[in-house]
Amino acid sequence: MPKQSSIEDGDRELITALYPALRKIAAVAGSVDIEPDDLVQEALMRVLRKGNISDLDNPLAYLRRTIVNLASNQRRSLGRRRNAVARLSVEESWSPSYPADIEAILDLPPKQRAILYLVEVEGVPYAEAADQLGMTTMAARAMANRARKQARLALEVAGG
Amino acid sequence: MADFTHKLHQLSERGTPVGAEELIERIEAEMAGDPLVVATKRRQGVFMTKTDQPVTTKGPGPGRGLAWALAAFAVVLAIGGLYFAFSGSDGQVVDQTTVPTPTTVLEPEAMSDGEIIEAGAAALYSGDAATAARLFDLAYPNDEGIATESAYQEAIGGQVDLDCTEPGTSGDAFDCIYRYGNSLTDAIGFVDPGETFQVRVSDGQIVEFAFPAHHGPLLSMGSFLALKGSYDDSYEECIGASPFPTFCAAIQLENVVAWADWYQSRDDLDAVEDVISSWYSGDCVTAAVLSGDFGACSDPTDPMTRKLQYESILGAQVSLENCKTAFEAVVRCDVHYSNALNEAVGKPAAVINRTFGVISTIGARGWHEAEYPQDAALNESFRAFAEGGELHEEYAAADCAHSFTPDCANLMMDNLDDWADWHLANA
Repeated sequence: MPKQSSIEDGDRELITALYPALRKIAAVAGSVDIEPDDLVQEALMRVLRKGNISDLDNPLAYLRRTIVNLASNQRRSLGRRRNAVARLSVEESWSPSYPADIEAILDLPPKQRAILYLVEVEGVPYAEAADQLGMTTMAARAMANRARKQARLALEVAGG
Repeated sequence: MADFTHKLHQLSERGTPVGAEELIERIEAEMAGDPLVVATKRRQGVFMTKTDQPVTTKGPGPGRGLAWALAAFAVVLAIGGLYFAFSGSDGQVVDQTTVPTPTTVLEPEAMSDGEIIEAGAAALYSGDAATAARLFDLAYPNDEGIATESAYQEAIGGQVDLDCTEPGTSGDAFDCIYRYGNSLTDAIGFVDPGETFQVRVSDGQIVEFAFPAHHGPLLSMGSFLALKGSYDDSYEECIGASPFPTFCAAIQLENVVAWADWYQSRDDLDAVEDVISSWYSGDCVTAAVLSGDFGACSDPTDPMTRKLQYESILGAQVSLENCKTAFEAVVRCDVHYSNALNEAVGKPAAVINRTFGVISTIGARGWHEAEYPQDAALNESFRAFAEGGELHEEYAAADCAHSFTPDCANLMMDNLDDWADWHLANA
């Protein structure tokens, strides 16, 4: 079936500009058996089903929130695109190269990983991080504190 | 930089990005065959800015160990009727009411947002799908999904207590503490400590809502079914994310009494023994469920399936000795492992001391992905025999050096006697 170009130029530019930031949050929040690009694609598809990305007030925040929600959902539909060979290669490539201390971080819920990443790695202020993840600033701060404690504990257990 | 910050940074770089250009191509390809997109484009008007709907899952992530155990068992017991408590923006509870029996006569335009949340949740959890569909307008699930979830919740006796704080001046979402329970959690006496999610109402409809589920009991029921030999692959639909099909409730209710007895009698050592015995007896379905490898048995290329075939071909014998609970959810055992190689050269079983991260009522997820029991000395001997002789190409083709494959096991069995002679002469 020939492809049809359905993405408008403005959205195309936005996707290109936002892609690195979206992929990073997908990599942090998503589980290891889900490709970050699959999460990003699913989030973009959800927006495009309803309209244009450029119509959003804050496309980055909206899409990041959607990605984190999708990661929490662990939706089955994300797995349908991957055939057995791809799945095999993902699992085999992750297992040996995935140290225990990273696994310890992955034991945190997706939203906790996301808030920690935004605040600690990207240096996003709590208010903005809260907006991106759909919670109050106070809740974001509390979640980040809880996540920090759990991350440190998990890393200690993992020997990190 | 804190250590976990560094790890998070590493995590954010994982995998190989496909790049924006390829992603756009993928999306266009998907959109070309997606009738929903086409239909939406035709009636495109004002873009809906409601947030995406977060279906709540408290289920386990892919990691193993204690944290996974804690996550999987963040389960609840909600006793009594469905009630909601709304509080003002200062956080003080100002009202707590029992939700009225859902009614199909609704006037959302005359209801406060809080009342809409009450009525929507009451409809959802009482099986009143029509009212629920009218009061929910979520990006996911759609009305059909709401009806499915509603039917499941009614059947399984789902109850949710919502304790909501009205939006303050800085936001438009209610912060709601969810406490969820159902027949499964009732049966084992779990109490939900509650978790906070946002609920948003827009134009008389709920546009953001969390669907609580407790994956510990759902996974545990799967393990129970597998161990009693009645696990069906369709049960996988009952351990993912909401909405759950109604048949899940039928299976769960049919087994809830026996499962609860089993659940309350389990300890960590039971779980390890069941995992190992199912694995080495070649019971793929049970081994897969207890190891968290759902669906692996229908995929012959899955690493788990290949390992099971490998052990079966080599006639592996495994026993556990000196098992001790190191601390909660962690068991250490001496694993005695032998196979046809040991028998061929008269070598006793290798003893591997290893740790299992377990959940007594579920299993030991991913236990075989690290420290996999083997007689490393004999495997190394076979490698030297194969690579130093005529078998080096077959050895490489069977991927013996990197994984436990059926091809590798067959290669060993086909050359067992020659290898044994070589080993005894060279060891």
